[in-house]
Amino acid sequence: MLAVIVVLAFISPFSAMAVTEDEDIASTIMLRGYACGGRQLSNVVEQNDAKGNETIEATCPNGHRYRIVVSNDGRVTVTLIH
Amino acid sequence: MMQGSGRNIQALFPAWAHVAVIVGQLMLVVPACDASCAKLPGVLPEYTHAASTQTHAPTARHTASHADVTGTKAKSVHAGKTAFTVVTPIVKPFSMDVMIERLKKTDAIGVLTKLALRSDARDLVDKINAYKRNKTRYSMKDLRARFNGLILKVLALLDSDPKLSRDIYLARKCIWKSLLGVKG
Repeated sequence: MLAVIVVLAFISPFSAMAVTEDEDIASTIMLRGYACGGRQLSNVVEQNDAKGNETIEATCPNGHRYRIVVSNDGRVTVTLIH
Repeated sequence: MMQGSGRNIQALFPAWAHVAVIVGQLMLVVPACDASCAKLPGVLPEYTHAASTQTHAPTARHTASHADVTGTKAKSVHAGKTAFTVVTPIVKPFSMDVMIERLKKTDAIGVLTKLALRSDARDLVDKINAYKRNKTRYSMKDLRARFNGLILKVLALLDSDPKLSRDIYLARKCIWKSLLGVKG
C-alpha cells in the first residue's frame, strides 16, 4: 500500500506536456460549444489568404466537419460545415 | 537470502513512507488565501531548503506565518538545525493581465486555443467597458455569469497544468475586480 502511494506520487505530472495540433484544434472547437467526440481529427486542411487570415477545416471523430478562421488580428471563429 | 533481503526492504520502508507522507502533504496543501487581493501574488512564493538534518517540510500556511520572523529566527537556527529560506520573487496582484501572461506561457494549451480564449476575453472586456459607459443591454449579473463561464473554460483546459489552474481558481475574485477597475 505504501509502495503504491510512493509510485503514484512520483509518476504524477508536475510539468505540463505540450499539446498536439489535433488536440489544439479539437479544444478550440469544443471551446466554442460544439461537440467533437474526441481529439483525433481527420482530413485537416489549412489555408492562408492574402489578407493574413488562416482557415483550418477538420473532421471530428463524430463525423462533423468544422471550419476555424483565425483573422489577422487574432480573432477565432468556428462554424459547422456539415 | 530472501529473508535477509526482505528484512532489508522492510528497514527501508519507514524512510520511504515518511517521504511519501511529505510528498502527499505537498500535493494536497492549498494555501489559505483570504479576501484581500493585495496578498495574492501573480506568482506564489517558492520555498528553498537552505540546510537540514531532517526531512520535515512545513505547509505553506505554516511557512507564511514564519516569513515575518525569518530575520530573527535565521540566526538562532543556523547551527546545524533545520533552516528554511523563503525566496519571494517580485510579485504583483493577480489581475486579468497576470492571468493572460501566465496563460501565454503555459504548455497545457495550444496556440489556437490561446487565441480563442483571447478572443473571448476581449469580447468580455468590451462588454464590461460598454456597461461602464451605460451603453449595453447586459446587466452586471449577465456579465458576471459570462466571466464565470470563461473561467470555467480556462480551468477545464488547464488539466495538465494544475498549478496555474489552482492559482486562477483562487484568484478569480481578484481577476473580476481588476476587470471592473476596482482596487484590491
